[in-house]
Amino acid sequence: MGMETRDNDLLKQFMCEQKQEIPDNGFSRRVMRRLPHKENTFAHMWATLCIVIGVFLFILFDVFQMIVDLVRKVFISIVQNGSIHVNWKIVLILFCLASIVCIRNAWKHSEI
Amino acid sequence: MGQINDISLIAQVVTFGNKRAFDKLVCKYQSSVRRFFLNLTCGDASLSDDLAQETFIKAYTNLSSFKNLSGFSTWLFRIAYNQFYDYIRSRKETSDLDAGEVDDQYKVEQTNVGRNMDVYRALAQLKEMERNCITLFYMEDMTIEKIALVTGCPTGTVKSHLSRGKEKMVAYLKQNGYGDER
Repeated sequence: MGMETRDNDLLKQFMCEQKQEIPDNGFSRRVMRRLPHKENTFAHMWATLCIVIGVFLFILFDVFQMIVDLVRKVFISIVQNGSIHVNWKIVLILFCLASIVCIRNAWKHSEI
Repeated sequence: MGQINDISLIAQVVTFGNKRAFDKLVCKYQSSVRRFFLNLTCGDASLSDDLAQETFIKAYTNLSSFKNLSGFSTWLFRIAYNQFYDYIRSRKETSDLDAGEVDDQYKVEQTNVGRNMDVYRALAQLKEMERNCITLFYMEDMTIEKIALVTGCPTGTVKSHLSRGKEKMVAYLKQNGYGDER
């Protein structure tokens, strides 16, 4: 009992002293770089479903005709008034949104 | 708690292909997997890193087959164990082809790198399976049942490997003055 316990304790203590935490030092980054591209069926199905719903709504509400009408109205108002009234607030918001999307995409690509 | 977190990360990887979630898993387990290989290769750091990388890549590609029967870490160590034995097998095949030249080269490499630390010297005294069991039991704090799952051996076999490994290690430590210090 005594001898075996002492041996066990000796080994436990020795192994415990030698146990080291290994710092990452770029290891996980190297692994992430080497990961193969994986086809994600769920994401594909979700994107396909969204496209199908989008096309269905586009046809259902005759969005194409709405766009044509809008462009026609804008064109007529430009011709009649002779100037374009620009809402700078909307332009600023659109610019900010576009910038956020661009930065996010660039960040995602740099990560991969 | 940790296991629930692992499962949530795995779900994110499998369902949405979220690589950042897998990165978190790599960061969490890199130290233990690399340490496991370092002990099995008796201190060959570059070989350990290569094997650990392959282990994580295999884990990523097969993550959808993970059934959570024994926890993610056990599943990961099973892959690591298989990876090591695939490497050993491939090395044996190569050494057969080159009439032992590669094997000799490998031995030199092991001698140079592995002699820095006492633990690698001590582990080098053991057979591969004993080293495996001793490493998982003492370094990774795994139970005998988990080691049996990782190695695919019955618990009785794991116990006997552990017992033999323990005897050899203790004898080596005593020879090198470790018992006297206490």
